[in-house]
Order: sequence, then C-alpha cells, then structure tokens
Amino acid sequence: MPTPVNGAGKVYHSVREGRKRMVDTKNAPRILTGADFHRLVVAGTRCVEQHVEAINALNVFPVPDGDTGINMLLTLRSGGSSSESFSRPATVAEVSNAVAKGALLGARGNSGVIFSQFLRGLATELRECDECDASTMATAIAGGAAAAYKAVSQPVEGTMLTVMRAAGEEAQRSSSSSLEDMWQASLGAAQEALAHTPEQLPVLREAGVVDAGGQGVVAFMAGALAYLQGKTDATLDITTPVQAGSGSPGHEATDVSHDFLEHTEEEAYGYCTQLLIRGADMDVDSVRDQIAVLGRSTVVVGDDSLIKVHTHVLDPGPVVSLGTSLGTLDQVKIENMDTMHQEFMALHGYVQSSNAVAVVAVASGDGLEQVFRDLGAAAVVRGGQTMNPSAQEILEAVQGMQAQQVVVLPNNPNILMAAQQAAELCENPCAVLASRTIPQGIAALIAYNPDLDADANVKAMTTALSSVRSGEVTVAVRDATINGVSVSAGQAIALLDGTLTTAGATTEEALLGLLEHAGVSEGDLVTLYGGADVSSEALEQNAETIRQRWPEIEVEAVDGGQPHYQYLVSIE
Amino acid sequence: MAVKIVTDSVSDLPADLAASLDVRVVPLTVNFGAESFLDGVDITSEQFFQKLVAASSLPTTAAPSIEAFAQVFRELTGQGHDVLSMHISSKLSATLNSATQAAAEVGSDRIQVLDTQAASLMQALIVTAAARAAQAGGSLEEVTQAAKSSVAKTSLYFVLDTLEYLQKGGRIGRAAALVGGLLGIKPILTLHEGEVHPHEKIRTRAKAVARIVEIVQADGPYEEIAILHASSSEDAQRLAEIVQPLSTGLPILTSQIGPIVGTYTGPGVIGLAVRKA
Repeated sequence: MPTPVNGAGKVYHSVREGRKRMVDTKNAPRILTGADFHRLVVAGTRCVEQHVEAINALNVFPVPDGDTGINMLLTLRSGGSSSESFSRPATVAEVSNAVAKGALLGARGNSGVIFSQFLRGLATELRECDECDASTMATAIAGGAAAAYKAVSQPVEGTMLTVMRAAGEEAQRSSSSSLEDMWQASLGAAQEALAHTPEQLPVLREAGVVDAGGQGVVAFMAGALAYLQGKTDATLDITTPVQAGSGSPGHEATDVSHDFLEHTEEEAYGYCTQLLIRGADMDVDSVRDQIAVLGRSTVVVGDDSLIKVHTHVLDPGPVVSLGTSLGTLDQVKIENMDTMHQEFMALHGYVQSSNAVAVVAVASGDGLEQVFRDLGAAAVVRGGQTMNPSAQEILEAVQGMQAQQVVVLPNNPNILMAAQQAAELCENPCAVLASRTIPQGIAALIAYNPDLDADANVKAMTTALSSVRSGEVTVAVRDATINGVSVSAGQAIALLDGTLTTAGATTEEALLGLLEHAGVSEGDLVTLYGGADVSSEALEQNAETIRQRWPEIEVEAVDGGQPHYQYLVSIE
Repeated sequence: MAVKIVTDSVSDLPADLAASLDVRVVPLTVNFGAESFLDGVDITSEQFFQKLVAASSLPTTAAPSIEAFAQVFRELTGQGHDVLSMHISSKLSATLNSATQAAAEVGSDRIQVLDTQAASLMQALIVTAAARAAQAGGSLEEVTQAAKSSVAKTSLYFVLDTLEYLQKGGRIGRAAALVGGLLGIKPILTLHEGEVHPHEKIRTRAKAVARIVEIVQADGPYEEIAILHASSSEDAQRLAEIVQPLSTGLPILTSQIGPIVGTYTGPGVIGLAVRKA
C-alpha cells in the first residue's frame, strides 16, 4: 500500500480514521447504503411490533376495534419482506422502492394505507440515490409526509398526517446535522406533535388518547433511531386507556385483538395457530425467535408473564409444545387455512364472464359471507373490524374477476382506503363504493343487477347504500364518556351510524335503546344480524321482543356470525 | 265471416270476459301424480291451490295436443272465419308449437299463430286488445297487427312469496341467481322477451308491491291494467284502487291465476300487467 507523500494526505487519512472510529464505537452508519436502509425499516417495524397491542389500544371508541397497530405492522412487514430479496448490494433507491411497493400492496386499514403512501413519497425522493445522507433523508421524510397528505382527500389535523408533517419539517431544519441527530430531532418533533393531537381532535380528547396512527409513526421512527444509534431496542412509552377488567393496560388488550392476527399479509398456508402462554420470567424475544423458525407470519408479543403467539405453520404441534414447556396455555385456536384458502379460490371461479359487472365484497362471519354470496357477490374477501384485509388481498380478488368492471364493497370505514389503493393498483376498471358498514354493503348489493352495465350499477348501488341506517351493538372495553353517553367497561353499547348512542346492562337493552334512538316507524324494515357469540334462540327472541314493541315495523333476523359485534342492525 | 281469437288457458282470462269478447280458450293440463285435470274444465283455481298446498310432490303441466288446437281451427275455419291464435311465450311452454303444427295440419292460410311472449294476465291484455280489434270488424291482417303492437306495449311485474316453484318448475330464467337467499329477498320479476327476468330485488312483499306501483306509475297512462293474484283478493282490491287513476277508461281486470301459472308461482303471487296507451 502506498504511503501518503504529503501532509494533506495524512490529514485526510486521519479524518477518515476518526470517522471510522466513531462509526465503530456507535455501530451506526452516517451514510445509509441500501442494506442500511433495509435494516432501518426492519428496526422501525420491530419497534411497532413490540408496541402493537399498546397502539391497538389507542382506539377512540370503547369498542373492540383497535387495530391500528396491527395494520401498520402488517403494512410495514410487507414492505420489509419485499426489500429483503436483493441478492446483491442494492442502492437506497432500489431498496426504498421495494419497501414502498411491498407496503402499498400489503397496506391494510386507513393507517396502513396512509403509511404506505408515506413510504412511497420517501422512495420517490430517494429514487436517484445510491446512498443517502442526512440532508437527503430529511428531504425524503418531508416528501413522504407530503405524499401522505395527498393520499387523503380531506386531510384532518391531529392525525398521523400531522405527526408526519412535524417530523418532515423538523428533519429539514436539522438537515445539516448528522443522520442520527437529524433523525432524533425529527422524532422529537413527531412526539411533540403526537402529544398535541388530543388538542386538535375532540374525539381523541374525549377518549383520553393520542392518535393511534401517529403513535405508530413515532414507534417506527423510534425503532429506526435505535438502529441509527446502534442500539438493539428503542425506548418508547405509550400510555393506553385502561381496558375492561384489568388495571394494567396491555394484558386484556390481547383478548380484544385476538381475532385479527389470523389475517396477515401472506397467502394462506397450513394452520393458523394462536395461543396465549401464561408463565413467569419468560423471554419474549427468545420465544419469538424460536417460533419464527417454525412458521410464517409470526407475531409474538407480550411480557415475561404473558405471551401471545400467532403463526402459520404446517404442523402446530411444536408451537403448542413450546408453549407448554414455558407455562400454561390459554385461548388456543388452530384453524386450517388451506380450507379457507380453497373456499376463497373456489369463489373466484364463480363469476360468469358474460357479466358486465362483478362485485367483490369484504365481510366476515359465515352468515354475512353467505348473504353477500346469495346476493350475487362474485367473491367475498374475509375481513372487517379488527381484521382489515390488505390492498393486495382485495387486488387479488379483483384481478380474479373476468367482468368488464369490478365493483368493490369495503363495508368498513377502515377498509375503504385499502380498497381504493387496490383499485389504483389494478389494471382493469374497478370502482370502489363508499360502503362503510355491512348494512350499507348489503343494501348496495341488493340494488346490483348483473343485466345492467357498469355505470347503471354503480349509480343504483351508490344510491341504495345511503338508503339504510346502520346500528352496531357491542361490549365496551373500557370506561368512557362520548357524545354525552357514559359507559363503563363490560356494559353493552350501541352505535348508530358510527355515533355512540346508548349504553345498557344487557345487549338486549342496548339493542332496544338503539331502535328507540333511531326512531323507527311504520313501514321500516329492521334486520338483525346476530354475531358469532349470539345463539339462534337469543337472536329470534330479540327479534320477537322488537316485533312486540314496534308492531308496525317488519323485523328479520339473520345469523351473521360476525366477530366482536353481538348485533349489526340495518334500518331501512 | 269474422276474425276469431283463440288463446290458451295460461292467459288466466276470466271466463265471462272470454265469452263477452268471443275468445276461444284451449285448456292446458295439470297433473298431480297420475291424476290429470283440464285447466278450467276439470279443476278450478280454488281447487287447484287447495291441492297444491296438500300435495306431497309438485304438479306438472302439459301443453294442449296438436289435435286439440286442430279441432278448434277446423271448426272456426269451417264456419268461414279467420283465426288468430295467440299463445304463451314459446320460451315457457310448448303450447305455441302445438298451435303452429295444428295450423299447418289444417293447412289454411286463414290461420295466424302468434307468440305473445307473455303469460297470465299479460297475455290476456294482448288477447283483449286483439279481440276488441276483431269485434270492431278488423281484417285478419289488421287484428294481427293490433296484437303485435300490443306485445310491444304490454309489461308484467310480479312478486312471489318464494322462488321455489319457479325454480322446481324450470321456468326461472335469469332470476335463478336469486334463489336460496338467507335474507328472504322478494324480487320483483318481469317477463322480458318471453323469459322470466329479475327486475329488482326488494326485501319485503309490502315494499315490493309498493315498488311495482311506483314502476307502473312512472310510465303511464295505460289502455288497460290487470291485477293477478292467488288467494290475495284483499291485496288485489287495494292495488286496484291505487292504480285505477292510471287507466284511461277500461275497468281494472282482476283475476286469480289459474292452475298452470299457479304451478310455477305457488300461492303467494301478486302482480300488475299493463298495456300502454
């Protein structure tokens, strides 16, 4: 190796050594390569995963629908796994583009969709970069925030958008700092913006929570910062409202969000296996590592005394054995996904190519899925409250259609954006109707006529969906006062068109209160869709009670089988 | 020397109206197992529905024989009349085929056979228009023309309690997709190009009837309106009062459907047939 011949060379050399030393000490990069960018995303994702239940618990209403954490996690995972596949050193542009593409496809829930748009904006800014320094990254964060704003037709402040924008603005102000310092400053601004969200959005203030999506952004950034600092884990405190039946947040939240984890970004495979392990001095990270080897779509969360496991495996045996070796098992649920998958695929072939229009609906619960199929939906994508399907799942169903035009009924406000994203990614004509509830989706589908063309159908279905009012009866997961209605955890509550309306000691009381509040009158048709944990007898009995109290209305009862909601009610 | 109108019993044309309009009605046959009944001759509507409810298996129907038509055609042409023979949609029954072959067998160019692309009182409204043109002294060509233009001006909307009979009888057409719903949809059905088509899906019978009235109100006025029902004379009466103002003069024709239509609709049917002015 040639020795430097002049002083300047020596100085240069020593500066480089100094920098190298600094990097070595903190084990953190100053300039991100493609591989670094991937690791940064993985670290951010890991932090979201560690706090997934806490983020879920930040739901505005005391209803069991908190799923922001899981939606963001699954969206990010889809991004991370698609950037994993480079067999050679890749550029930042390539990796960030792969992350964005994966996230766009894997996006589920509004928070996931918005975050995927953030990642897309980030990738757009980085599209020319082999590597990326603090200043470029700062511009990219700001670009990501701008892209996220654009994805929302009516941006609302006090949401994750505000948090992203604060992060972007501060990143740009600190763009001359080191990458780590810039990121830290940006995260600080994001946290401050997050803390102010309750002042901007009254619903958050009433519920005593910060915005869940914003919290997800902060968690991601905190995880990424830990990576830039060369640490293994981020420090992040999330204050969640107290859940039903528990003084400590987190534990019972696992019950609440038990069901949705089965719906992950990956294709159905083997057995979806879920269980809770109760034990002492358990090591969550070690359990996660062991189970990750056994299966796919693995999510392991919890603490040293309670661990929740979700994984897809060909043989659930070893997962169960691992659990029993650590403690006692609870809420063990093993589902054969191949059967579920076959059913889904069978539905894809159902469409007749002569149809001008085919309908793809999102629903969950055997009865509801059957109702949608009866009414002519060519495919039913499983999903709903707390188990939002990804844009890709919807996209696959849409692409399986042979019709000239596909109409998607998302049937949930939190699936609407993922459906719209799927429609944008789709090459065939695809219209997403703004059905925000199951009753709206059913009303729209009743108006569907396969003999008519696409425009006529979209028009008739759109008109029909607004002809129905939607009620929901569920159980409050915590104490809350919203819209002047005070509820305590465990009480039955009813929502009318998304607004908390009444609380009662029993679901029957809440149901009757709901109809009272809706002011049902002669000629109205009330349809009750009984949930998974409502027996046929109870369903019929409640229908009969309503018939006796309001003899002038028609009442129909259908076994919907939906999770979480004892009753879905349509009033038309 | 006149034009005589022949139709089949699927038209559900009341006997007194058939007599006053000088329309010859050739009966189809309904079979309950090994028992055969000539529609309107051996069995009344009331008797049919009583048997239908009690029957262990669904009845079947049979088109009139070629000879049944040939006899009528020979008789009328023998008296020196021209004949316009108007029948149920060929997509729903073999009746038109029998009549066409009978006409060929009789071998007279004074017999015209017409597919009304209709059934029940929709068919009746096409028959009454032709019969009135015949009574007014129209030629075979003129009467046939009147009948053809009535085919284009006549529609039918009806609702069934259940699609089961239509499905089991194999006459369901495009409404097949609606069968077996958990929601108990009461679709409004229509006849389009001689086949049963779903027009609109409605959740309850009351709403469906109200919607039929709305559809009909949106497209008046009408030369003639008919209400078909099975054992729902009160509903039919109420409906008649509502739609009376839409008719330009003729009284509303209300009729209980006969055994042939009843075999495919079951007991809970109600519907409105209209012929535009």
